[in-house]
This record gives sequence, structure tokens and C-alpha cells, in this order.
Amino acid sequence: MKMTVAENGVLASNKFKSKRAHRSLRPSAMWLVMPGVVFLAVAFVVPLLILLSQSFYDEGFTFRYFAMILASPSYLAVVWITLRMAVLATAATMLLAYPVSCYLMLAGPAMRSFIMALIIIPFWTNILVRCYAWMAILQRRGLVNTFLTDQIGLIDRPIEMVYNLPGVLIGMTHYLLPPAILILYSINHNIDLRIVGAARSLGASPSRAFRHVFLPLSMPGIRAATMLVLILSLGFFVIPALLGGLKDMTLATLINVQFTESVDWHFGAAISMVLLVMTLVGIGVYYQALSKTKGGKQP
Amino acid sequence: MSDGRRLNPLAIFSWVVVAFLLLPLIAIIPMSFSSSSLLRLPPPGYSLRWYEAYLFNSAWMNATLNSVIIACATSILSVALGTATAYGLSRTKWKGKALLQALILSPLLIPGIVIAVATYSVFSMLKLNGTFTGIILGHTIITFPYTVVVISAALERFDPRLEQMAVSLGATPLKAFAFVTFPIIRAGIIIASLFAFLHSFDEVVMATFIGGPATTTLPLRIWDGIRFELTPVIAAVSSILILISCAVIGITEVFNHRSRILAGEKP
Amino acid sequence: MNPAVEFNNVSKSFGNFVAVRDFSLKVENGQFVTLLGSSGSGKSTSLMMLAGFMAPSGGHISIDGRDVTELAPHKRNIGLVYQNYALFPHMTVAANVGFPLKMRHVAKAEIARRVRSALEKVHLDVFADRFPAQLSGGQQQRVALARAMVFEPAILLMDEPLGALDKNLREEMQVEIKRIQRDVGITTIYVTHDQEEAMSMSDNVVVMSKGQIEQAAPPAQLYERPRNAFIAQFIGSANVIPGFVKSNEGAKSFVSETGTTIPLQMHGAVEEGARKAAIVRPERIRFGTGNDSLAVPAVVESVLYGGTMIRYATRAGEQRIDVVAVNDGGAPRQPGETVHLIWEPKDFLLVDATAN
Repeated sequence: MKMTVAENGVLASNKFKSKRAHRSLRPSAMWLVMPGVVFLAVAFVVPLLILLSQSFYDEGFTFRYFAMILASPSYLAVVWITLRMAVLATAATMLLAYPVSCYLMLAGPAMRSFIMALIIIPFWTNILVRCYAWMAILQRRGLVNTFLTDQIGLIDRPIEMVYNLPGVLIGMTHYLLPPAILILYSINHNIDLRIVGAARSLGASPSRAFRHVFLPLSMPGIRAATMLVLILSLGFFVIPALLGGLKDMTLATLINVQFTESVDWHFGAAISMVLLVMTLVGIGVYYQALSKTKGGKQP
Repeated sequence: MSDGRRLNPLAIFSWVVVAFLLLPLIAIIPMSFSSSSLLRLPPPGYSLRWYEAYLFNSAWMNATLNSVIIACATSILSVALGTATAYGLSRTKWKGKALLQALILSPLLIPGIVIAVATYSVFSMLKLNGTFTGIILGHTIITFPYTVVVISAALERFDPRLEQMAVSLGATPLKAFAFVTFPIIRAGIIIASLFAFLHSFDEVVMATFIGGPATTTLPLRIWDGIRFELTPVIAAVSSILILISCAVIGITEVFNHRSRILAGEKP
Repeated sequence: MNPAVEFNNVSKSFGNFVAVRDFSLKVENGQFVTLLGSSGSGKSTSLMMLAGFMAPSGGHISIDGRDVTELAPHKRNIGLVYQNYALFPHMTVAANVGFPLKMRHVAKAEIARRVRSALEKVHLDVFADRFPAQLSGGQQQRVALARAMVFEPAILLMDEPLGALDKNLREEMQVEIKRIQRDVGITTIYVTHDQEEAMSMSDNVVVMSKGQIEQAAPPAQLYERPRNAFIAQFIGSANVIPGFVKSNEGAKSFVSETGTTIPLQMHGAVEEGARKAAIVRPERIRFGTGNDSLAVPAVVESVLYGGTMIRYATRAGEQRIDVVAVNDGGAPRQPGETVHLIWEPKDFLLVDATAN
């Protein structure tokens, strides 16, 4: 059988070249993305933009709503309370989550799956149910106090554990622990523990090996988890509303008041923007922390 | 590396944390069977009165039914949009893709209260507050990122050359999706719909704004109930909700397992 | 009679990067043609354009005389086999093989019959109800082959299908594939970077480099008459000696750039003065005696005793020339020995010196 090899351009048609240069034979997948993105743009982005506009436009451009927040000490106190609560909750959560994530890395696969399933259960449980549980446990005539006073007579008067800052912190920590643990684990589980073993074999004590080898390697996960937890805590509404006291008003509950009781939507919009800006700053730092983990992935 | 000395205090600490996470939920269950309305453990007596107070009360049952309807509709809408978006994203190599992905994930990070009031304010202009349509739309916004993430993960495990092969063997792109892609990512789609259902079923912040008397959801009733009195009826409802969550987690694990096997990974 | 496949001046660019250029090729019915090249040579890209998953930037492609350049992949009636098999994991072997028939709306009973017959051809009829994950690599590849042929496509395309298999299995499968292809008589275009595989299986080999066809010829012709130094070194091994043709009183000789003179026995015109590359394969060089006027004297530099073969590195003047001799049990030459290199005239080729 003969084979012939045609030399250059015997039947080439140059006029078709440019038309076909960028055509793809597969249907464009961008059309599929459109419905979701359009929906998001219309139902999510537009309302937020409208809210933004309400914060500085009320029959003319005005910044008086922002001035109200930033100039008044009682409203600034709310900002401060929100921040303080978020930072304390984040600290408590990370202190508890980090060792658990380390344990997950060291545990065998069966134990690890078991513990993760147990951690996921509260994660998928309704937030109201969790708050209710804490209220029932912590309140004056709740489980802990009745146990301590009536049943074992340890104390005379009930401890105030809820409708105050400690109550909110307990509730927030309880809510934030599962995502913190899971994110820490998912980012850090690639760390090769043999490096720690190598440090030990070179003479480092367990605590030094941990401090100088493992801890720095786990920083990317710590950074990402801390930022995520912080961002989430800033926006909490249900937990402070139910477990907090009247003087523990956060930005979220303040916003709620503007839209339900005071019906001052413009002011509410302005407060929302303040909260949003705080959150966006946090998100920016979070994505920064995340991109560092991608760069420093363990081999 | 199993260093015996290091493992034990760490293990104990971890189990204490796990106990902290679980005990409150576990404590509710016996409380729901208590015969008295005092919150005390162990309960003075056992009875089903709180379950009866829930199941035979029309207000509670109406709220439950509303939640189920809304969650089902939300789940379907969210998964439909999420599947299309996830599939489209996985097949394009667009420069703006990262930005688009950030946009899609943003409802997860923006405070729920801000989304709620923004939506409330727009819906009041459109007269959607207090309607089923309104709350379904609102819930779809916040569940949409979850469905995209879950289905994108399933698609990532799916080898796109399988689709290419199906097409070369004579399948139209639509048939390739129906016969090859969909069966393989079906488990992921089911997990995504369970996520969306549960998330909508549990949602309260947006419901307090957009919900109305006709669309009162179960969480809304609990919310009102908790703020005014802590009757053990809520314990009964809570126990049922906890069990539903556990059941959903179990089902999800089964489908996760199946989808991993299909993708050829070791279980 | 139309060729089964024809590429007409096909090219493909991605932005500024030209992946394939001036690709023109005719494949006749029933031929086994291999596109051979290293990665980046454009061989897989050309295959993808034929399959329809990439649109050419220029040129035309026809199958059986029909221009398919604009035709969607699922309408091209082509069988594809990949390195990673691409078997549908959620379907049984039988369902996999029957899939193309189902897409063509063939009746169920007919599908069952043809699937059985296809699986028998690849000796896998017992595994019809198993799932791909339960089969070995070689078995999966055979299922992929059965699936690609069951609907009697016009052509069969195979993209490095044996790359994931170990050496013994690969050689076994090469024989299998060739046997099936001969049996069925289907036009096959095969892509590989393994030159031994290409040479042993193909009717014709198309050597590609940097997006272009270097030479397209049957294996023997490719080996004996490589068109340039690149091909000579890509297929088998070769001594490549750049230099010039000189004429001295009617006797022509080739003078290497290193200054070594090699007497020429060329019949036919050879341009004097033009820069050429001389190619002679190490195994075609013999050790002669000093009496042969055409022999090139050289000194043995190193000897590698490889059992079957003995490799010598020799130096003629400043020019290094490698020689490979079959180990016939005689004493090998020693380093420092003077030898006289001779070869058949037909084994000494002059080609254009390429830039590299």
C-alpha cells in the first residue's frame, strides 16, 4: 500500500482560517453559569447595593447616619462590644480547637472518622436548639444551678451563667468549634509528621520539637481558621440575642432593632455598612491567609 | 508517629471538648421526656406530654409543614442552579473565574443579619414579604453557595475525559451528561440537596424578617417560644430536630462513601 | 477511491504558540499509521483535531472523502482509545461496550449480540458483567478497544494506549492490537513516543517534531533512509558527522568539520562545498583491514562490553565515531588499538545539516 505525503498548501483555503481560529467544537459552558450568577446578582448583590444606598441617601446625599454611629459614645460602645465579644470567642475557640485538630492528625483513621462524625452532629443541629440547650443548662433554675444548689448543696445562690457575656461566649464557642476544628484539620493534615520525628531524632525534646517545628508548620491553618472564626463571630445575631443580656448589644442586634422596633431603616442600613466593612476587611485578611497556605503546601 | 506520652493528655483534652460539644444536645433528650415542666435532670418522672403538645398542636404542625414545603422548594431550586453553575465553572478556564467563585461564596461570609435586612427592604418594595415565594427566594440565596461547593467537589473527582469519550462514541453533549456525568455525580447532588434542605429548614434570621403569619416556619415558632418562656415543648421539638440531623448525616455518609467508590478512590 | 483520512495543510495555534503547522497526510483504508514524537511534538494535538475535540486554526480534515473539519465529534463515527482507558465506572463491561450502539439506537437484542462478539474478539466475554474497577489494566484496555470498535467506526484512534502498562504486558498488547487490527481491517491512527512500538506495529510511521512532520514512511524506509539527522537519531542510533563534500582529482571525499577525511563511493551527483551531515549507524560499521583503501583508520577509546553487543567509542583523527558489534565470541578490541572502519556504501547517507 502506498502512502503519499502532500506538500504544503495544495488544497489549503486561506479564507477559512480567521473565521475558525477561535471556534470551539464544544458548547460553551458559560451559558450554564449564567442563571446562577444572574440570580445571585439580582437577589443578593442588588439588595446589598440598595442597602448601601440607603445608608447615605435619604432625599439627598447625607452622612448623618454614619455620623450618628461614629460620633455617639453609646453606639461606638456597641462596636466595641461586638469586637470584644468576637475576639474573646475567637481566642477561646482556637485554644480549644487547636489541640483537638492535632489529636485528629495523630489518631488512627477509624478513631478520626468517629470523632469527626461526633463533631459534625452539633454542626448540623439547628442553632436555636443549641441555644435552647444552653439556656436550659445555664439559667438560674437550669440544670447546672439546680444540680449545685438542690442536689448537692454546694452553693446557696445560683450562679449567673447566662444572659450575660460568659453565656454568650459559651454559646459562641460551642457554635464555632466544629468549623474551626475542621478547617484546622483540613489545612494542616498534610503536614508530614515525620519532620517532627526527625527533629526528635536530632535531639529536640517533645516540647521543643513541637514549638520549633510543628507549630510554625501549622501556622497557615491557624491563620485561616482564626480569621474565619473572627469573621463569623462579628455577624452573630441569634446567640447574643438569646444568651446575652440587655447590655450586651452587638451590631447585629442593633441592626435588628432598627428594622423591627425603631423602624429607622436608614440608620439600620448605616450600621449594616459598618458591620459589612468590618467583615470585608476580615475576609480580605482571610483570603490572604488562605493564599499563603496554597503557596506553602507540604510536599 | 504515636508517642504514647503525648497522646494521652491530648486525647483526654480532645474528648473533653467533644463532650462539651455533645452533652448539651444529649441533655435535652431526657428533658423532653420529663413529666414536669421544671428543667431538671434526672427528670422527676417520664411522660410523653411534651411530644403530644407538639404533635397534636395545629400551630406547631402548621409551622412544621411550612418549613418542610419551603425547605423542599429551596432545595430543588438551589440544587438546580448550583448544578448548572458548578458544571459551567468546571468546564471553563476563564480569567475572571476566581472572582466569580468569590462572588458565589460571598453569601457564606457576609453576616446573615445584613443579608436579611437587605432582602427585607427590597422585598417590602416588591411586596414579597410574608409570601412563600419570598422566603423560598431568600433561602435559595443563602443555600446556593453550599450546593455549588458540594457539587463542584463531586465534579472535581469526576474525570472530564469520560464525557469526552462518551461524545466520541456518539453521544450528544446532553446525552453524555445524562448517561455518564449525572449518574456519577448523583451522590454529590443528593448530598447537596440534603445540605440545602437542612439549612433552609433550620434558618431563622432571615425568616424573622421575611416570614409572615402565613409562612411561619418551625424555627420561627421556636424563636418566639424561647424568648418568652422555656417550656419543655421546645425540648421535644429539639430532640426531634437533633434526630433528624443525625439521620441526615448518616445518609450523607452513605452517599459520600458511594461517590468515592465510583470515582475510583479507596474507601 | 478516497483515502480513509486526509489532513490538508492543517495547523493549530494557541495564541502565539504554534502547536501544529503544515500538517498534510493521507492515510489509506486499512492502514496502521503511527504518529511518533516526543511530548510537545504536536502528535496528540493532531489526533484531537481528527477526533473533533479541537478545531484546527487552518486547513481541512476529511474522513472517507467527507470534509469533517466543522463536524461535531459525536457525528464523526470514530473509535477512540486513551491511555487512561476512560471506561465508565458506573457501568458493567457489557454496558460500556454497548454504549456506542445504544447511542445509535440499535435494537437491544442486536446490541447484546454485537457486544458478545466484540468481547470474544478481545477474549473477555467471561467478564461481561463485571465492573471496570474489578479488572486489571490490560483487561481494561482491551475493553476500551472492544468498545471503540463495536460500532464499526470508519477509523480507530489510539492515544498512547499502552503507556500505563508494564513492559511485558505492553509487548503482549502490541501483538494483540496488531492482530485485531489485521482481523477487522480497520484504519488505525496510533500515537506514541516509543519508537520501538511505532516501528514494530505500523505500516507507516509519521515522525513529528515541534509541530511538523519530519518524515512519513514505512518503518524500514525510515530506518534505512532517514531524511535528516534528527530522524536518524530518534529512530535507532546514529553517528552524525557534519562536514563538506570535497572533490580531488575526480575522487570525492567527505571532510568532517573536525578535519577527518572519509572516502566517498556515492553514485550520482553530490554537490561540492555544501554543508552536509553524514549519517552512518554504529551497527553498520565493521572492522576491516588496513589494506582496504576505503577504510577509515581510527583509534579505540573505550569498550563497553554489554553481553549481546559490544560498544566501541573510536576516534578517527578528531572525529568521534561509535561502533556497535555483535558479540560473536571473539576477543573484543582493546582501548588504544588502531582499527579500520568500513561499511556498505548504502549505509553512508548525506543529509542536509539542520540548524541544531
